[in-house]
Amino acid sequence: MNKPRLLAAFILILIASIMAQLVYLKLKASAQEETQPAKEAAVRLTGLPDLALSTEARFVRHRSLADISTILSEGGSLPEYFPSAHLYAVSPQAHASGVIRHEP
Amino acid sequence: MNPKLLTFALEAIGRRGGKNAAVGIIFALLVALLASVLLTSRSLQSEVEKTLSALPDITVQKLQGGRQGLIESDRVYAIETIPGVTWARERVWGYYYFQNAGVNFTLVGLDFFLPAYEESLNAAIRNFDIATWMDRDFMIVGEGVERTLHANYYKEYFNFILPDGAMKKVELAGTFAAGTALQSSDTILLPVTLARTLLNAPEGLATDITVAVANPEEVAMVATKISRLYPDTRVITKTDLAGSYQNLFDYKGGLFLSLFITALASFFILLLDKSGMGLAERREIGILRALGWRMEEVIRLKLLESGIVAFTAYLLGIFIALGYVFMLQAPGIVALFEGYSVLKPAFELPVVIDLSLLGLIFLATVPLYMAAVIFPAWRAATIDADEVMR
Repeated sequence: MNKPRLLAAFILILIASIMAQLVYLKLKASAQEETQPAKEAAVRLTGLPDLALSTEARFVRHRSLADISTILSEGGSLPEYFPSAHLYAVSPQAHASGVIRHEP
Repeated sequence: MNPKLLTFALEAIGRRGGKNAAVGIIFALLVALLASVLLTSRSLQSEVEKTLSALPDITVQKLQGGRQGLIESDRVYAIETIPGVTWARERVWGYYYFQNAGVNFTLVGLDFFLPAYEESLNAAIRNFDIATWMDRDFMIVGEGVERTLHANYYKEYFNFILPDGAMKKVELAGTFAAGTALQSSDTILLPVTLARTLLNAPEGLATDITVAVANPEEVAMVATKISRLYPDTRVITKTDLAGSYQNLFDYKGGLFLSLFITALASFFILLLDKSGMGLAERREIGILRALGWRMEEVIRLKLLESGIVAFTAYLLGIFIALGYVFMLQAPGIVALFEGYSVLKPAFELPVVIDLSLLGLIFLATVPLYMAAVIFPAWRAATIDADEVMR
């Protein structure tokens, strides 16, 4: 087989592989959907937000409920000590000024 | 499209097979790197967003000296009188540090006998029957907690150390269902009275208050009323949580993107400088021009050539990224999201194929590559054929 044909065959095989991969992932996504009610029930029981992915620091574990004091209570220079603090953005309501709704 | 031009372009790619393969593989790996990071963060973000509806509409925390303090439980009654509020409940929760394993557990007090929780308990907990646990100190644990306790030889119970140093034996009554690890891995559910003892929260005080509002349109108004009623509180609504989830990785996604842009810039500089337009390629353009090809035809050929290489490399990159993230579970990248945590949840990344994300990666890479090839080709095509061939 000459080179252009080989290249065209490679592209076609690649496209077919991606299609097959997408079908497989679609099936996997449907299977994952079946655990959704259990996930929602678990969250309903605790009522707590955020993922249990990084539990090293409280302001990362429950970042949506954390305020700036939670972050600093780990120690003024500690937040950046945790590698996960480099990955998760600080919650926008961490600064209380945007949350406490005082009206004149 | 002219099929002969396509054949000619494929032949031209084949003639410089080694160089095109090397450039294509580097390009594919760069696309795979960017796509893997973005797909992983998108997948995790979708996981938190999917359970947003199960969260309480409003969470009320008390601030004391700039820190969160315990809130008076009787505020629940005043909050329940606000029009639009369906219910308000005190909540007792906190953290317990298990020194042997160096992990933090999240302890949550729950009124197991409240009918409202019955359905959720059945759906989320395995092997648990409340009737057998009346008047006993029991706990329901997440998959990560169970694993940690087993590793420390606690199979049926766990000895908590109370604030006064005494021990409290608590029996293991059940575990959270498989598949909920990302929500519950570090969680321990306990009866409220037991949670109060372990967290040193006296009767009459709670960690925070959760509020349900019947009409979603009224949540902001109810939140304002709670703030006015209790100016020392911090009121977090579900909209705030949605906003918080929205920017979960925004800043850090930007960090990855900036790293990627640096890598991409170096790649294109290399491409332009070293292999963009070799002597042989310039001579080929000269010959084509001498044979009577117009400049736009030469450019069309080069566009087609670079387009085929870039598109193939892009497809290969996406193929690698999808396999790496959703089939191999992104080893390495997930570790970044887990940080130092000792208590790592056993979970499967939810499959989320965001076409707009893939489109964005396409637009950020393929046209740039084509431009990096076209520019030297255009320069070569503008020079006199005779001069180029010499």
